[in-house]
Amino acid sequence: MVQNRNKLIVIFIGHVSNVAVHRILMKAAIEKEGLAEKYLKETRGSFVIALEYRRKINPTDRVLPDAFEVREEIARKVKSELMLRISRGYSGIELDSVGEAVNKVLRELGAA
Amino acid sequence: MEIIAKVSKGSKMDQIYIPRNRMGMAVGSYVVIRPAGEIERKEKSGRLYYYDVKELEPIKLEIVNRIFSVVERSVDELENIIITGSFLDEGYGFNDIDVLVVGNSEFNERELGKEIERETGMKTHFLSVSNSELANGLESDPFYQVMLSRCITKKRFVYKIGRKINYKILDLHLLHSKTLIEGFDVLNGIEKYKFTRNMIAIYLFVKGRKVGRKEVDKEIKKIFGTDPLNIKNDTLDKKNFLERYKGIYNRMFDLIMKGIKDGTKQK
Repeated sequence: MVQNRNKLIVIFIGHVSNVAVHRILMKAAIEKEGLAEKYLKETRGSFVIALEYRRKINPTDRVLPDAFEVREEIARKVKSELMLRISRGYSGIELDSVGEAVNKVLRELGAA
Repeated sequence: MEIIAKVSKGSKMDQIYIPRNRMGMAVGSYVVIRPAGEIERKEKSGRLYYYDVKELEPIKLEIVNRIFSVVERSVDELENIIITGSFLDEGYGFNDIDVLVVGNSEFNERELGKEIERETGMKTHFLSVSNSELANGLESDPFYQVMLSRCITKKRFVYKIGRKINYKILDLHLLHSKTLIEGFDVLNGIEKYKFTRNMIAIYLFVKGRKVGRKEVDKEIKKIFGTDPLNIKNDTLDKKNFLERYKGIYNRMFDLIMKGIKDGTKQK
């Protein structure tokens, strides 16, 4: 069961990171207002998957006991994903917003 | 039950003969009689448009009609209703029904979803867009092209438009598919297929090729040397599949990053 939980946390971290990266990149990518709203809905698609995984991880009804480690791992993954893009010439990415974006997603998922 | 029969001339009253061996319409029960032409007209007005969907099970057709009816009475300034996704696949392996509502008015998706669930017992996933957003999406977004390559619509729907590559948007889409590389052991077959399909749709889009469900499945077969069904059934050779998957992912990522960099330079 512990092994199963660890696996679920790995995939949960992956999805939450995607949601956070997606939200940050969206700000950098979308200039037209009409498109921004549509893409926000798409982030919700990843969000729904993350939520499904959150519901499979115990405890489901309160903050994860390992929330700090989970948050650190997500923030590390998000930064690494964004840095990769910056190093390849992608401009306009706000690295400062990583912590806030990760916290927001985790709060929305009831994981922190 | 419906029977089409001819009105016959009688001596005092005219009559309609119907087979004695029939289901329903017992002797003594009341029935409605109306000209067959009216039924045809009614069917024509409730006609649906099928795009790459050869057949739909009668029960699914009933569900589609009910969804259209609920959406029509709940959404103002409605341009079209489009049903897409795995609901249109043969059988009953779908989780929810993807409904694209094209129009210019706002509506409460949650409430509408609840009403449809009450009427049909099915969960729905809504995406609402205006006509111009739909045109933009089809022009610049492989996700839309795959989604709308196979659908049922309320009104005729023609899409023959140009292609505009926005690398930053493609980057957002490709990002989804990265999950498979890290989560191969945890994801189920359907999830793996969706991530693979997403990546291959981007691949075809960037190469300027047609992006539809059939084309994507064909390319998956060609690139991974396995039928898409094996991905859905989660019966893959992990090492071989992941090797090819990472190869395509990295190639696409490089290409997109180059596109973004060049785009930035041009500005």
